[in-house]
Amino acid sequence: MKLSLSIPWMDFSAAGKASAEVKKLLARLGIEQGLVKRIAIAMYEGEMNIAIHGGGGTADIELTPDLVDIYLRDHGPGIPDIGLAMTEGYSTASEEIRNMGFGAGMGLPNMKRNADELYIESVVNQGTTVHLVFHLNRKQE
Amino acid sequence: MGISIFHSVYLDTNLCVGCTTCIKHCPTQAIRVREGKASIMEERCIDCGECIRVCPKGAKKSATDPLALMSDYDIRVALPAPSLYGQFGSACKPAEIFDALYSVGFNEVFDVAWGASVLTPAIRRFVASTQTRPLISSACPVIVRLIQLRFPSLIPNLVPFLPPMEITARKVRELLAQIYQSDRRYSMPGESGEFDQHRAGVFFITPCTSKVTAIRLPLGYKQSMVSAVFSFQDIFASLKKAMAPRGEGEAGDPAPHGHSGHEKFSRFSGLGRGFDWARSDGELESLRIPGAVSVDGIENVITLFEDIDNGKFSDIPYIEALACPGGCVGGPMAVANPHVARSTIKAIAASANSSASQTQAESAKRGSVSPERNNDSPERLYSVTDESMRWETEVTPTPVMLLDRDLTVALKLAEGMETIAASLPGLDCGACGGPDCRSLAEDIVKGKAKIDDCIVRLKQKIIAPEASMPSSAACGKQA
Ligand SMILES: Nc1ncnc2c1ncn2[C@@H]1O[C@H](COP(=O)(O)OP(=O)(O)O)[C@@H](O)[C@H]1O
Ligand code: SF4
Ligand code: SF4
Ligand SMILES: [Mg+2]
Repeated sequence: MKLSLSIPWMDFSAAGKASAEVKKLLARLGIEQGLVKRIAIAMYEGEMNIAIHGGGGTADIELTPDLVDIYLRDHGPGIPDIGLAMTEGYSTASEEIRNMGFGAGMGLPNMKRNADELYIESVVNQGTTVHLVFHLNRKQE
Repeated sequence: MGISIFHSVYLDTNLCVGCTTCIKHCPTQAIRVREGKASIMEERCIDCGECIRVCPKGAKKSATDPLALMSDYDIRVALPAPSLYGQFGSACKPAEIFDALYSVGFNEVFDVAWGASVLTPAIRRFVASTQTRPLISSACPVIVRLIQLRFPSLIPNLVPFLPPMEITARKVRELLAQIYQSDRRYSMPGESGEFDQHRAGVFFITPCTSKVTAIRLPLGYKQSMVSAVFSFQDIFASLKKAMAPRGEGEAGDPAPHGHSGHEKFSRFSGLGRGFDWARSDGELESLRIPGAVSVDGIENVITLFEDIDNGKFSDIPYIEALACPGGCVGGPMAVANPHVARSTIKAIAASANSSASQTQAESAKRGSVSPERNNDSPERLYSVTDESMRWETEVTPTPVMLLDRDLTVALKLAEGMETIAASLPGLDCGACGGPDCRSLAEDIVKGKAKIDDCIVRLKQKIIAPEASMPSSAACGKQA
């Protein structure tokens, strides 16, 4: 099944809404807690990146009995150096954003840590797609 | 009338007008309005009392035990929740309330504040012994149930200790057995004089709707030692009357179970920090864990828990989470204004704290178990090990939202739900009797509602039957 959610730009009152919606879906499906937690954390970080860096976008969630695929898409500025962006602590977030408690530069590394697979496609000035994959039948390490 | 066998919160159908106010405020989406009346989905109710607070008609009520139940027991022990001392204004001394409890028929009074005070150091030791962060207080049963239902991944974060009520009740049972079995001067009324726990009533006096459920369906332990739960609202008037100055009519009559010499172990102990648990921040102030956080009011708790669930706040060591605004003083069955009660509790706790030694003397005078009565020191009698306060049973997730145990079937249903949700207006107006459009979709796939329950959609269908239904995207929401 599919679930499509929109993520508004810089709307901090909506922060975490998409992630909360995904959690509700996983609860309806009875997905194991450890996995729910990993998905929630990765999804939240991805959602915040779209809201803060990506100019808003969408989250498309696809579920089968074996896999959870999450596509986080935006048409924002793109990431010029993905390797650098993946570095712990690297962030281009503004002073203002940092003051709000975001921009610690741990989002992408946390997504990598929690997802079973992570793919990033990004074109400068065109946008970014982060693809997260979770395996449903695999035991949590 | 729909009184539940487990839950305290119930609906008075005669009073309900089906206004749908309560369905919007329920933190677990447990309420639906069907055929003009609200109904609570038992398995989802966490007894938070939010619906009692918001219902404009007073149709949501709480079923605590009737005071008359006391007469079923030969020995009656009152366990006042710390918040009781905040109900009568700051001019009223705890000792007066204590005396009033004897006057209304209790033989013994034992403060639940005591349970809180022995739990405090145990929690402190536990926090130091584990890496899990943030740890979450398990003192409020609503919070434990909320976590089971909505945040099961936070179950390992709960501090695995019995609530103060239960710790106190256990000690009371232990003391009763000790006193009645070892001291020949005290015997049970009746022929044999043999002590029988079943004839000793242990009554928790509380502003809390969830405690009724907590003793019927204990969380983390097998059986509650509490016999019944009395609400502040039920007992307030008689306590007030008992406190009225002597000479004023009936109030001056000798109390049926006056405390002169009757009580065996009642103690009004110098437990300032325990009293403080009646209000938000109180638990934290007694724990003194640097960086700990206090949150009160169920909506605020949920917001914080969502963040923790998303991986935030793993640097916070401890969270005091209370379902009621302002803590237990804001309980649904409290009588006094919660803000006033909060200040009263603060004042009582501060004074009880500053005069710990004086209070101890008072406690001895009041006849707490003393070395003359027992060959045991009070310290030893009142001691508890950390281990004895630990949870004995596992607290497990309650998957009330699960569509089906079989993932393939659940996926199909979820898919159906999303398709239906996409055809609904996305207004989340509640006119269908459910809290939002998705919950109507959920009820439809479960066969509990039909698409025409959406009045907005139905109206559109009547006005423009040939036009396609607006997708929720048209209403500003993504399908
Ligand atoms: N969707 C996106 N669009 C553009 N840039 C992004 C996007 N996601 C991440 N980035 C870039 O990668 C950096 C690191 O991201 P992350 O690890 O989440 O840290 P943070 O969000 O705290 O800055 C960001 O500061 C930003 O420069
Ligand atoms: S708030 Fe709920 S219980 Fe009260 S009248 Fe409205 S629908 Fe009925
Ligand atoms: S805050 Fe206190 S009164 Fe309110 S539900 Fe929790 S334990 Fe009960
Ligand atoms: Mg980020």
